[in-house]
Amino acid sequence: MHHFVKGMFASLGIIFAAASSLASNQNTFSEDERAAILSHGPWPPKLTPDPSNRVSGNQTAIAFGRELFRSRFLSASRRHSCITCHNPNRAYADGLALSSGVSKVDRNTISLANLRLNRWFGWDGGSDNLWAQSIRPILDPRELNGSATMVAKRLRNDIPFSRGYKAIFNALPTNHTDEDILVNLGKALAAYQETIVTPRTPFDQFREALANNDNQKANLYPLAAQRGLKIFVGKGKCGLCHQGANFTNGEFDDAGVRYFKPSGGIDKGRFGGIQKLEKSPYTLLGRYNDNPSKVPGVATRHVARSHQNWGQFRVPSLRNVSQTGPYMHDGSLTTLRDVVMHYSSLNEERLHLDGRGLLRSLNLSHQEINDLIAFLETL
Amino acid sequence: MRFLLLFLISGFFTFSSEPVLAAFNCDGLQKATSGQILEKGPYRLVYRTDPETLTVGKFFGLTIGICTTDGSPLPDSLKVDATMPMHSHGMNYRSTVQNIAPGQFTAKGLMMHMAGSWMLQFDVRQGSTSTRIATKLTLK
Repeated sequence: MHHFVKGMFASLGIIFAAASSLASNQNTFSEDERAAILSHGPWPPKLTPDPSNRVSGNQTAIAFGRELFRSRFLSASRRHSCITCHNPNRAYADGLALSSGVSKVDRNTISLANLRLNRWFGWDGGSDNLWAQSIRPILDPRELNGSATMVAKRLRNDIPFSRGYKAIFNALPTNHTDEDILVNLGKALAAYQETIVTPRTPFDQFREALANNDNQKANLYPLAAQRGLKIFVGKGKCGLCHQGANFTNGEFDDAGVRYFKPSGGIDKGRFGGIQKLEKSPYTLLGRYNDNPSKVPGVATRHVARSHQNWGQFRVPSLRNVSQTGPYMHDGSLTTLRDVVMHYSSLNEERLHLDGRGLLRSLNLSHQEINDLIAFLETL
Repeated sequence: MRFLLLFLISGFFTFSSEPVLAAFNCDGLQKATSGQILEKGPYRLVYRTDPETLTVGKFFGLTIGICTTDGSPLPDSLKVDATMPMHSHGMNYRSTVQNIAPGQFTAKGLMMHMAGSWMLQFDVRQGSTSTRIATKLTLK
């Protein structure tokens, strides 16, 4: 009996100790912080097919697009493929500061994931849809260096690809124009890329636990990450741009990064992106949008090119961010620590007027920098 | 007559289709409580957003009615914009405004891409005179 009571007290002691330990493993969040945290989910999102692409969500097109993505078929020299820069083993990026195909490009390779959530594509938003963005590197002389004529000729002469094409687009490539073939291949590539979705992460589990008031599960989220999250939604104001479940507002801002190209000259950023959009035959306002109502083109119809667009680049998603370095449009920041340090000790003199209105040096302590990194690594 | 005007105004703000209504006056406008009413100079302006609740990063439209309280002429044209004064920037999009009937306008293509305080601005133009009517909106 004595041993039984002693044992019972010992067990209770362990339970109290565990409960006390659990309680100390969780930061307290204000109602505003809690609302901000919950706004970054749920994940994964419910995705619907792209109405501008009639083969979006089509399994045959997805498989065909995957083959195209991995093949060197689209490269003029047959030495490069989409994988050259968007390597699945590197989070669909390349780990390099600047992309390199036939020759070096002035921008960093953006990781391909969760693309169905984008409104704009590329660092400058020069495309308003994924199939146009998939055509862009085929035609860029620095990347795959191809053309509609080259791609169409190859497709017509390649029996397996030709059959694959017919299975999706109901006609042999011999019955389509060169440009129609180029756009259709872009649409198959887009159908495949839409399927690349980042998995649930420790942050998503924490967010869900918070939503369900499940302290036990919430306590599994590292304390440093919780402190970092508090900075992210609080004094860091990171969520102003990195908002929503995909941690981006999908728009453009001046982050105080140099806009001189490594090869010389100025990178026009969003200003140049809108100029490209205005000239492109492949926008949602054009004849290749498969949605007859052209409804998805509302952003393109109303986008405004102005002086504030100089030096602006697309706000990237932070999902999977620990896997996608180097960072920023020019790959000038190698590690996540470099990125956090950049915002911590921002050179406000280098910002455009618009950027100055939004950004301030965060002046984070060493501990805060580590905490913010710990949080980012859980996304 | 007032009931008829109220009925017409209610129809104007249902957003079921492109709203078109007969002549618009301030008596009726004052009774239209379903929209936000703003006043400046001779103008009384009522607007409603579509959708009713604004979301960060989502496009929205406006239906706008303007009358004059002193009998001066109705506006010739209207521009609608939104800015974020604290951040020194505006929208990344330029709205398109259509004058659908005397004193009645629709605006499309507005989008606020950031949470926080925005100023929704209406630049009402009559002849060579422009009057800015603005109101604060907070998006969470």
